Amino acid sequence: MTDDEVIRALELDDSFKVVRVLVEHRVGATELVADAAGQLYVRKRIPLELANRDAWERLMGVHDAHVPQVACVYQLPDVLVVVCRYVMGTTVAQMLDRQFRLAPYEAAAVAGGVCDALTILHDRGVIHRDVSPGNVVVRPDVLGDSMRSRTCLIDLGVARVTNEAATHDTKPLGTPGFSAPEQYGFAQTDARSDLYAVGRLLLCLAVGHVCDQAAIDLAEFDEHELPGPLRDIVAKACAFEPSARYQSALQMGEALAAAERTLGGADGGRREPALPGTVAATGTVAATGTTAQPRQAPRPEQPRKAPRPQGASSTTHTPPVPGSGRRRSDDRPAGSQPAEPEQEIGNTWPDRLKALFAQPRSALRTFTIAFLGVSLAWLLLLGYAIVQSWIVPKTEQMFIGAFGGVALFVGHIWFAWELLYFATEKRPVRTLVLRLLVVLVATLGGILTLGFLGATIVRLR
Amino acid sequence: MKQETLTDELLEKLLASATPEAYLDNVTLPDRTLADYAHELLEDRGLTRAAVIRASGLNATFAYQVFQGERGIGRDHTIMLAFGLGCSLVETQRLLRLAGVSELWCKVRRDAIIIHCVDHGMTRAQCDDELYRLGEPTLVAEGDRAS
Repeated sequence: MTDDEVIRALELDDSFKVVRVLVEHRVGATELVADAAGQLYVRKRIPLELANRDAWERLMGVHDAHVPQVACVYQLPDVLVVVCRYVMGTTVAQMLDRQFRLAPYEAAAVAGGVCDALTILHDRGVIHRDVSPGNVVVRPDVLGDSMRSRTCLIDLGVARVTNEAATHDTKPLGTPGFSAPEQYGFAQTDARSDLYAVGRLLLCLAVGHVCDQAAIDLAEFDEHELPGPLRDIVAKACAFEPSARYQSALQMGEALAAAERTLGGADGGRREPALPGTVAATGTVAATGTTAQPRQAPRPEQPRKAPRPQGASSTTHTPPVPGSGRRRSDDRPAGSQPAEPEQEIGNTWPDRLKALFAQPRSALRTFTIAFLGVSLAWLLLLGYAIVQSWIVPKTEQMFIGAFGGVALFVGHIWFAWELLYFATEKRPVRTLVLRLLVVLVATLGGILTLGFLGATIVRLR
Repeated sequence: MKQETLTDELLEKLLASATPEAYLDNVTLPDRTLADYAHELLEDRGLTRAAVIRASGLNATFAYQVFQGERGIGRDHTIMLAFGLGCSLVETQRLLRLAGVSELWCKVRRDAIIIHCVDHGMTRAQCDDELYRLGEPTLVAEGDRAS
C-alpha cells in the first residue's frame, strides 16, 4: 500500500466515531460507530488473511431489507474494514436467551427471510458461511410488515466468493451446531452449506433452544415441538450429503413459504377470528347515523368479551370459512397450539390496553400509548365543553357546537380504538389506513349531520 | 502536569523503601503505552491520524502500526510523531520516555535546536529547516521520503 492509500483509508476510518465496541475476538473487532450526521453503522475489522474483499464489494450496491447495506469497504495495512448500516432489532440469539419461543409459522417466516437474504448473496456468488442465531436480526414491527420481510441476515464476517480452485476449506469457521459438515474440511463449501445452517436455525427457532450437537436426531422432537412441515424441511436441509439438500436458497425459501401458509400465518396476517374485534366501534357508527362502510360483519357467535382459557381456543373458534383461500390457524395440528407466544386478546378496552402494555417496546407501541394519553386529556376537555354548551344553549352556534362535539367525541374514541386494535393485532398497514379513513369520513359526516340537526332544532324553536 | 508530580511521588516512595518488593507491592504502576498516549493526545486535540501522519512526515503504514501499538518506534520518529501531534515540550519528553528512548537534552546541540523548535510551536518541516541551517542532521533523512 502506498502512503496516500493508507492516509486516505485512515481519513475514512477516523471520520467515524466509535459508540461502543460490540465484539473483540480473534476474527477482528466489531464496533458500533456513528458518522458526522449521527447515522449508526457497524464497522468490522477483518484480518487481511481472513477477509474477502471481493465478497464485500459485490454487496456494495445491494439495497435490500434482508441484508445490511454496505456503506464502504477500505483497507488498512493489516485489516480490511467494512462499514455497514446498523440494523436495529432483536437477534434470534437474544430471543432464544429470553426463552421467547416463536410460533411454528413464525419460525418458518424467519427462516424464509434468511433464505431470501441468501438468495441475494448466492446470486452474487457470495457464501455467508456463518448463518447462526446471533447473525439473524428481526427488526421491530413498525409498519405491519410480515415477519419474513423484517428478517435480516447480518455479519458477513467470514463470507467468501464461490468458484475458488480449492477442494476444501482451509480454515474451519462458523458457529458449531450451525456450520455444515463440509465446513470442517470435508469438502468445498458452497451455497448448500448455508442452507444446512438455515435448517439448523429453523430447528432451534421451532424448538426454542440451540441444539449444538454435530448430528441431530429429529425423532427426539415430537409433533408438538416440531410440526410435520418444519420437520420435513429441517430433515432435507440438514442432510449430510450436500446433493440431498435443497439446491438453492430460492427453493428452500419457497418450501418455507408453503410451510408458513400451512401453519397458518401467511403474509403477516394474524388469526382471522380477531377481525370482528371492532364490534364496539361498528356500534358507534350506527349511533352517529352515518352509513357504515362495507366491512366485515360482526359474527354473532363471537362473544364480545373473549378472554377465553388457553388451549380451548382451537375448539371454540368458528369453523374455517369454506373457500376463503387462506388456511386458518384452526387447521394446524392441535398439538401446536401451546407454541403460540400470544394468546387471543379479548375485544374490550382493558384487554386491548393490557395487551398493548405487555408488548415488547416498539415505535408503534410508544406512539399508540402517547396517542391514547393525549386523547384522554382531549376527550375530557371536549366532554366538558359539550356539557357546558348543552347546559346553557344560548345561541345557534352553541347548539351546533354541542351536537358536532358529540360526533367528534365518538369519532375520536373510535379512532383511538382502531389504532389500539392495530397496535395489538399487527395487521397490514393498509388495513389501518383504510379503517382510519373510514373513521375520518364517518366523523366528519357525523359532525356535519349533527351540526345541521342542532341548527334545525334552534331554528324550529 | 499531574503525571510529573506522580513520578516524583513514586520516586520518593521508591527511595524510602528498603527493598524493591516493598515499593512494587505498595504502588500501582500505570501501564500506559506509547499508542495509548498518542490516542489520548489525538482525542485531546481533535486530530485525526491522517492529519498527524501528514504533519509528521512519517511513513503512513509505519505510523499506522505505531498507533495500533504493534510496532516500536525510534527516537527521531518519536520526535516526528510529537511534531505531528502538536506536542508541547513536556508532552514530547513524555512521548520519548514511553518510546523507551532518551529524552531531548539541552546539553546536546541537535537536541537544543529541536527543543527550541518544539517550544516555539514550529512544524516538523520548520524544525528540519532549522536543523539544516545549523548544520545538524534533519529528522527526515535523505531518501527516507522515497521509501
